[in-house]
Amino acid sequence: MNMRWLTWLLLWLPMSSLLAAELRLQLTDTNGAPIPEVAVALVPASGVERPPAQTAIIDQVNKEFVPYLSVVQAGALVRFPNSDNIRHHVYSFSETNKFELKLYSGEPSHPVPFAREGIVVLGCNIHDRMIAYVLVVDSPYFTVLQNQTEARLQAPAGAYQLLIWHPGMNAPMQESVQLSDTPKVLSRQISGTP
Amino acid sequence: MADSVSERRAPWWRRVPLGQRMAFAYGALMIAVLALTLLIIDNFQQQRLAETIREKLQIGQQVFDRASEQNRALLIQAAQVLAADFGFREAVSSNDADTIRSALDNHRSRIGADLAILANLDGQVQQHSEIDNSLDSQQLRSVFQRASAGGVASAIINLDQQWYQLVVVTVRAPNPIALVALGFAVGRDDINDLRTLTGLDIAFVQFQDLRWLSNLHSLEHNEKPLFIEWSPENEKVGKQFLHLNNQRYAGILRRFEQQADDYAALLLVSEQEISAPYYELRRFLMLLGLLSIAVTLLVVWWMARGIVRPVIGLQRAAERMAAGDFHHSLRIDRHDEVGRLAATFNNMAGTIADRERQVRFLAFNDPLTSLPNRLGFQEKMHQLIETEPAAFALLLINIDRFKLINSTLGYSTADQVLVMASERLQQQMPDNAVLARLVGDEFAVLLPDSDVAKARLYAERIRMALREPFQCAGRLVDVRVTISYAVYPRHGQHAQELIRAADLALHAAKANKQSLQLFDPSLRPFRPEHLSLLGELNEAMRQAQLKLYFQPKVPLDRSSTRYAEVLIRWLHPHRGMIPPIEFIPFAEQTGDIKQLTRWVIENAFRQCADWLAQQQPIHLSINISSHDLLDESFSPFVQQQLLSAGVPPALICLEITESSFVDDPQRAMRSLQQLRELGLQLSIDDFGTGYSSLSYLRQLPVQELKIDRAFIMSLQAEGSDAAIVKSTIELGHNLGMRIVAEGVETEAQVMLLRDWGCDFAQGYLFSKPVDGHQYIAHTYLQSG
Repeated sequence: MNMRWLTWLLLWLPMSSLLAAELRLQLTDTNGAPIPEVAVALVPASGVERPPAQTAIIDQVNKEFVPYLSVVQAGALVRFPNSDNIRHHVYSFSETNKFELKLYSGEPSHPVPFAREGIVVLGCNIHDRMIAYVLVVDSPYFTVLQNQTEARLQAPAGAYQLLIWHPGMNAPMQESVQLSDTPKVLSRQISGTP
Repeated sequence: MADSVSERRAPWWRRVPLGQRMAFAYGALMIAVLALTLLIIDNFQQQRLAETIREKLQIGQQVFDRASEQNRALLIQAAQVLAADFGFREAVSSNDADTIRSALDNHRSRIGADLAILANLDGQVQQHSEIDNSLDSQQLRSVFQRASAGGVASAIINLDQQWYQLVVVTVRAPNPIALVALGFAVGRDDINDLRTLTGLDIAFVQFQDLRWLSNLHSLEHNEKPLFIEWSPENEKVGKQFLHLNNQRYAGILRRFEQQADDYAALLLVSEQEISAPYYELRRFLMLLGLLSIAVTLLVVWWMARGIVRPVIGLQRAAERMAAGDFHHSLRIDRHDEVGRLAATFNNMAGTIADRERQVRFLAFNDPLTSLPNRLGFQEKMHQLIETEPAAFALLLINIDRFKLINSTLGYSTADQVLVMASERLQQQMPDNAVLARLVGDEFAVLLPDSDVAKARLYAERIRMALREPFQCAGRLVDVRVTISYAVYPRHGQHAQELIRAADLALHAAKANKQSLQLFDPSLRPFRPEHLSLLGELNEAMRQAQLKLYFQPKVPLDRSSTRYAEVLIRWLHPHRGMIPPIEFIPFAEQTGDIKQLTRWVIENAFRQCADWLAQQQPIHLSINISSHDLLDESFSPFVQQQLLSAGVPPALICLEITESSFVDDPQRAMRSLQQLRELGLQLSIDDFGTGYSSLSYLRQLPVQELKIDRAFIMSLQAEGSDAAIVKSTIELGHNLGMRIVAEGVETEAQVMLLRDWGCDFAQGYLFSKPVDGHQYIAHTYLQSG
């Protein structure tokens, strides 16, 4: 745990000077209520240099994927440690990333690369109820709101595609936003998850 | 009479024989009971039927629903297991059409489904295991849409003439990515299983072209599609009836879960099938009823026969008794009321038979002598004629002066005499003869195989046997008998005729004071035709059918004076000549003789006058009857005729028979005297046959005596006849009378008569009666 914290700190410090712009997104469902799990990402235009993708972890605890909803940068590696004392068979039939981790326990020998942008649905072949969603974006600027109504994203000023998605949606909602030195405040309502 | 009345008043059913009546009554009762039973059962059945149908449908429907639900759940589970199969999901997400299709086919066959279809979450068919067909229909889409909304769905649909149970589940990876439908073909076997399970007939129906059509059902001829008349109205309780295959069914339409109205299962119950056990019961009852009716009728018939047969036997026996047959007694083979009745009946028959025998004996026998009486005798003679039509003789034996015996010796002695006489007669009888007592003093004997000679011989024997006096009540009684006889068949064809003939002969014998007399047909007074002749007699007198004939009365002293007896002849237009014997005695009986006598007198006088005018004085003798003598106008009539014809009374002689005086001798005497006073000659005819004696005749004013032919016919020089004739002539002469002999046929007779001094002779020797012309043309003289 200390290690993770330290790593996050080390990564964040050199970038902090660059992250001058901020997006403050007020996000509720159509009733004004917070959404249980929703992913928000700012994708810079192509050609803009991006920092290298960081490895993500989707754990399996008590026959659930943790977290339920993840956002990873395209090209990132995702580790699937098994914290349960039973085996799991993690798979994905999603077009963007088909893979299968046959019955295993503990840490698999290799993390799974998530190369292409898109939505990847994860399941366990043993436990039909286990499900997890991964939004793969070509950007390091993203966050996941869990029953929260405000998302704050720092990124260098510039033009971005704002993506909002939760598992109840077929495809992410997209719009263009321009970030400058002053924080940009947006307010959006989306239909709640089914 | 009473019978016919009661028969008329009896109601019709009383006239039906007892046995039939009983059988009818019992049969009718049984039929009524049977009909009532069936009626009650029918009524009950009518109520039960609707209830049974309702119950059966209800239960069947519940079973059907439950089975469908279980089946559905099972299939959904199976489909879900399939949809969760990793390999299947992997194949589905492979996006390769061939791979997906082969996976569908593979997994379809894995769980034994007949059809597998993959659709996207919008319900659009993506792939399916049927390579050839498009398999896209509104029905299918709507099922997928239901599954898309609810995760699972099921349906029963008809795809391309094949029924399927369809289940649709979601394929998750692990989020829903597709829908997969598995179809299980529903065939006849399944329908039949359902039928077994629910106890109802099942028809899967599809609403098509505004009517219900079923190509899958469990009814008969299930290979043919069935069109079903079913309207929403039919879904109300009590209205769910329809006709299929000419049978009435009750039905319930079960629509499949959440489906449009196009597909349904019709659950049917056959009314006939429900009623079948009832009809079987009914048939059995009917059979049982008919059988018991037949048995009852048989038993009733048998019982009725037991009662009726002896009754009919009694009736027949009574009829036999009524006809006089007492010999058949009833057979008694039972000891109940009927048996006792038969015994009583037999007893009664016996008593009646005894009495009848007694009555018969009295009817046919004489109680005094125990001999047959007239009736019994006639009966026996009748039998003899019937059985042996050979000649036989009948003898009548009459005891002379029996009245005298009766009055002088008393009835008991007379009866004793009769008994003794009968005993003596009995001793003389040949074995095969029959002796009878006809009336008080008259016996009769029937002699089989006898002719006249034999009968005469036998009569003599009887006379000899009875000649010896009877020792009776201390005194000797002398008995004389008169016997007459006749023979069969000469003197009579029938018993009665023969008895009558003998009777006539007996009377003749009595009259003639002869002790033995054979019947002579001339004794027979009348025949039936005489009756009609009488009616014609008056006509005959008017129409001159009657004619006078004359028979010469020849003087034996050779004088030339001519005498003749006037006789009458009847020339009947149809019957020809009728001799006087045929009608004169008859006319004498009825009194018509008076007209006849007057006619004869009138015509004879006229003839006499005619001849007198021709110088031929003829003395004419005319017969008159006792009727004329008793008629007071007779002598005035004669007097008047004498005057009108102009005939001298001395030429006329009136002949009277002895019997003319019997009825009223005083009056007869008076008439004779009146006639004598007129100057007429008077003569006694047929002398010797009657009862009169010469001494009596002496008192009569008579000038002539005619000896009956009976004495002359067998006249010989010696013998009883000769003595009678000779003495009669002598006595007659002594009384101053002329003597005429009748029936003279031989010269020898004439010789004797003349020797004895007889004055006249008359007979065939000289001439038979001839008519006036012939008579006058000849001279009749005594030869020699």
